[in-house]
Amino acid sequence: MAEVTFTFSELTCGYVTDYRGSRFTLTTLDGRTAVIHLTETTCAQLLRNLGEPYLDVTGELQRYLRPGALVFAYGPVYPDAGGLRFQADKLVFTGEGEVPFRFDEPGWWTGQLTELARFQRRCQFGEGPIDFADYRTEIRPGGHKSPSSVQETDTLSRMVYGMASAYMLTGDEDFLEVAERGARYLHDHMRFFDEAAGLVYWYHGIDVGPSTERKLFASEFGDDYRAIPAYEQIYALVGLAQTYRITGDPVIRADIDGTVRLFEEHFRDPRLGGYYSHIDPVTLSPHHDSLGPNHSRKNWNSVGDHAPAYLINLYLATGEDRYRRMLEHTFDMIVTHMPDRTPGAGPFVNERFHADWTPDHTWGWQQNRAVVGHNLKIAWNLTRMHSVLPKREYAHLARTLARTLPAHGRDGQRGGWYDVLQREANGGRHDFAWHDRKTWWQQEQAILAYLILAGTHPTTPGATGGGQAQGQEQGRREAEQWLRHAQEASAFYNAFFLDHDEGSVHFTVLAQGIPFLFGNERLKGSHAMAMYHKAELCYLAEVYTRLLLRQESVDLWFKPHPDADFPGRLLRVAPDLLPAGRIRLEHVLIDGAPYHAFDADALTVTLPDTAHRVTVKVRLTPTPATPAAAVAAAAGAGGARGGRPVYEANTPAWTRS
Amino acid sequence: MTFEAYLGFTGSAATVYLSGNLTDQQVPALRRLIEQALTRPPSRLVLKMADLTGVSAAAIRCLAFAQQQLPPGAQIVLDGAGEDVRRVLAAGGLDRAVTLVTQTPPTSPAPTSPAGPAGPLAA
Repeated sequence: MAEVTFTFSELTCGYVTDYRGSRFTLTTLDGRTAVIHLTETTCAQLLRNLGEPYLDVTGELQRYLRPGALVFAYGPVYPDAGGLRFQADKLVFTGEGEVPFRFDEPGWWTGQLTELARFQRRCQFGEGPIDFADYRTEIRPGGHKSPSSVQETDTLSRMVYGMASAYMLTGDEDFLEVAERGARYLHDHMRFFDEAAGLVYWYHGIDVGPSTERKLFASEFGDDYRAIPAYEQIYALVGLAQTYRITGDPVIRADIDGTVRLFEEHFRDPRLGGYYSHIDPVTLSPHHDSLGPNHSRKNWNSVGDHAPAYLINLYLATGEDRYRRMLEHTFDMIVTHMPDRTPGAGPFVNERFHADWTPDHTWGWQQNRAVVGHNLKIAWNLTRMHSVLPKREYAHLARTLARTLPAHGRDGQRGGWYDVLQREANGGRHDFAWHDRKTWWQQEQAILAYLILAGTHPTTPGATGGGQAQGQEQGRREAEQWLRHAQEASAFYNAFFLDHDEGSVHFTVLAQGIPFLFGNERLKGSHAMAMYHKAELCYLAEVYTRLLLRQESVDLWFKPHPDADFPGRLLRVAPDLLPAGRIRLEHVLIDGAPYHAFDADALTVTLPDTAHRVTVKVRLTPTPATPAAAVAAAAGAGGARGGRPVYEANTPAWTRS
Repeated sequence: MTFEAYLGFTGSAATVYLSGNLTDQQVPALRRLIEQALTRPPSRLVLKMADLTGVSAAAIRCLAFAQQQLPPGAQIVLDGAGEDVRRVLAAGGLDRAVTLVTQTPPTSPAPTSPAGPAGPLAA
């Protein structure tokens, strides 16, 4: 090992095991012991949500430094004769006593989403009327627009997604108005309708002039330059699908269906399956010479992003089998072609492919590198899909990734998940492709993956490969570990990504949790960041935590149009793809009055025939005594755990369900 | 009516003369002409459409793509577009992004780069 001869500053995250005098001991997330030295200037704070004041607990260390407490300690490190000596400048505690993780409290994520939505509205429209002619993609760190006059379709749709999600959780109609006006603006300004073919495709964006619009038809983004990438067409639908869930707007539905037709007729490979990553903007062919390095290629995004971005939500809203089949196809392609089955391969999937699914390790920046968040996203979404279409391969890949990724993609010293790593190990380690920074959206993938894995874990007898009692115990321990990963990722995200000074969420932080405020990564709005991932995190973390783990009810709001285009006039209110029978519809209010025409188990409401729009508020509640609830209780979702956390990397594969 | 397309230049303006039915099969010829025009690049790209009897969505995509490649401030002028062309243009969302004019008198000498009836570009 290299010898360190200089001081530096470092973040250490772990569970307190002992506190004596001016120092305390903790067990890091990867199981090492670290001693942290306090000084007379050490300050401490309690984790706080957006919109909350600074919560100083410097004078209460005795109360917070108790065994089992999760703490982040940042400060100088000295290379002493006996080893590294860690000094604490700042401490962040994630909770206290009966609430060891504040983000497990009901309403934490809803409150965060409310703050995010207010910030976003203020950035784009101030306190005045909502006019999307004023929308701009690029937002500076403080929430002000840059001089750029570009409106990118995807970022606008991502904002629509965030606002629609905020409405679903809060019922605040201002958020819904933003979402609906944004959806209409997309229809009026960003859409290309090919009437003869019945296709809809979306402009990359528009450059708004004083009296004209300069259309940006093909992508302006470097990876996809002058092509139509599947990625952009997919994310054009993200806000539309979420708004359609709420409103049933037939115009939105037609636009979504026209775009799905585009995917099926021009991106899909009918012979070998999957979807091509790019098509030529004129011929709509994936095989046109103009595409250069994107000629006849498939990639993770063109196959895997359909589901989370719009397709699951479209299926939730309609229940239509054609969308379920499309989902199944994308997940079948993922489990068939993306895992690396070469002998000695590492834990990460392949992400880029030739037309025949041969991995492409020569493409642009990706080469033979792994985006950690894509692997987590696979684990998350396979688990969602497994709830409605159980397949051994889905569960196997999701769990294999969940078991193997922490040892390679997670920061066991500081918490949080890394960005891009080399797929091939170097001396047993997967080197960073460029840096060890962490981005907000990859933390989201980790949180949601491990929350839903813990919440849906088959801890029932007979679901394991071993003996019943042994299998149940192993399953319980594994579910505990996965919940622990979700909590640790949530802790890092909430401690370091929330911008309490300017508002919203940082794009990137250094490995130590310090905001990285350079270049495009300093922005609050850009080609890569708007209001999708952070809103999706809030929406689904609230849903998973309360319904699957804490056994608590969740209220959701909908506001269908009188002519809502929902099959059978049924409003489908399932919050996500969850295992059948895990939740039921407890009650329904329409315009504040009790309403009884609903199916509690199917999670559907028969819409009344009215000439006006109604507000539908539903209460979803967990069915009693689900195994995951017991796991949550045992793992500390509602109470403190003493001492060292139950965590082991590379747990044996005990189940092959 | 047979499809024909020609390209001409007048100063910094490029003009494409179109006639006949502009189907998907004819779009590659239009694309080649426009790509040739963009090499200058022009301050104005004029498409003479009075003699077009029909236009496909692919042709409108070609125009949308061309607009994106024009230098800032340069514009596309559609001269003499009929109702059918305007309808496809509006469905494609491009009507806000181009200048539509009714037929104007000839402003240029004879074409310098005849494409022929959907044929290859002359050098």
